[in-house]
Amino acid sequence: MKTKSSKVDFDPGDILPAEALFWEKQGYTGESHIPEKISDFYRESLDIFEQRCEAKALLKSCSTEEALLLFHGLDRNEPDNPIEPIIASAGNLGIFAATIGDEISIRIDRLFDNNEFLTAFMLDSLASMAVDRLVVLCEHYFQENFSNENQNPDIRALSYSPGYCGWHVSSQKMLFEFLKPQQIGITVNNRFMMTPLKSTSGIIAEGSKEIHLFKPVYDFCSYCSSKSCIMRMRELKLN
Amino acid sequence: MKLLENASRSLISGDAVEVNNLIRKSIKEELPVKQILDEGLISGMKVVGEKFKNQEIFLPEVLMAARAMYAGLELLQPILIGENIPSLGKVVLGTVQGDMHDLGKNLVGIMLKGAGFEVIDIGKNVAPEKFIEIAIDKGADVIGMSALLTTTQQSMKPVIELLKAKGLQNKIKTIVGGPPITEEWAQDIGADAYASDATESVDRIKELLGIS
Repeated sequence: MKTKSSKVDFDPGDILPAEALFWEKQGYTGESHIPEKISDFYRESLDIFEQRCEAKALLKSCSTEEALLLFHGLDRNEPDNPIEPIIASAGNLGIFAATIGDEISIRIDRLFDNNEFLTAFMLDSLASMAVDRLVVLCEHYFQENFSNENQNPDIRALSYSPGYCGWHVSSQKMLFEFLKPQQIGITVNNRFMMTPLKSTSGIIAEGSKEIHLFKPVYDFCSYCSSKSCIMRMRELKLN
Repeated sequence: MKLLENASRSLISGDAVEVNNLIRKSIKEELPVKQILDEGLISGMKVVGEKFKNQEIFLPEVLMAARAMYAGLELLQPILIGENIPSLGKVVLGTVQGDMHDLGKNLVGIMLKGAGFEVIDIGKNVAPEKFIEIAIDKGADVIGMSALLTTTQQSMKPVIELLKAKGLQNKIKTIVGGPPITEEWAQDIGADAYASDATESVDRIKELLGIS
């Protein structure tokens, strides 16, 4: 199999969360009134985000053997996990890393230092939500450009990242050796944390919708605060 | 005192400019600085904390109020130091080793300062030895540890073990928090307290130090 690789730039506007979703994340749901002054801070953080965001991603195709090797990494995964069977049954696999750049994190730190807590907090929330959206765009890009199944509604490419779902974060080491995301400005330290902070990496597994479905009842699920897998699987079943 | 009541009210509504003006006036009128702090600022933050707990307001409004509080506090701080007025307690605060995420830690620091504590923020990716070293050096009452990831929460235990090894567990209390942290986890690793959010951390630390 010939390895395919792509560097992609994304428009900041494409990864911004919908405003309603942003407010929902802050607790303002349904009938909640958002004070005008708070909205002003939101607009300020939005301006900073649009000026400072440099969203980019690097994607590379890989074989099942390569993906499993990266997944096993330093052999520190939870023995029982949902990702290994997903990789094994995926028809098409890739590795990715994506970032919105360092400028926003630097600005957040500076805002906190200057006691501009609300702008800092909102910018941080926007940035985190934007990274989540960036991952979805990477999945779409993979399916559109790395696959022959992009027209098939029953096939879906979804990503899985080290540090989640029983996949130990130490696998970042091999993932970085394989993908070399330094070329888009992402590095990893000896404790497997990425810089810029607002970055993400992982495996993209493409296959029938069923391969992505699992029951979130593993031991580590009780420690998970995001539970994003539940939403993702719900969407998968609906669409 | 009308001036301080107004400052407190402006703080609750997040009006940083007005809080700054009113605290400036209070200083000019030579009101006791501790009274300005307690009645003009801390009392307002207390109301904000209560409203947040009761879900009448959300975190952005808390932070807007905290920003207003700091606009007044920056005027008071040099006088508080000059007059040697003690804080409620000293808290060393950091994100544990391996973790670069400091949003939660920053929010806790903001709320603690707002309640009248002295906060020594030692940043992110902090080694266990550094937590202990700085806590001893600064005469801290509490060490607060934050972690975002399940993989980095493991770095909390060595801090507590080191504190015990030095026989300081009764002198310096520990509190832990962050998205993956639970009450059970805190107990398992021997932490003195756990807080699920920044406002709760203020209450827990007050309990630890016997402050009503």
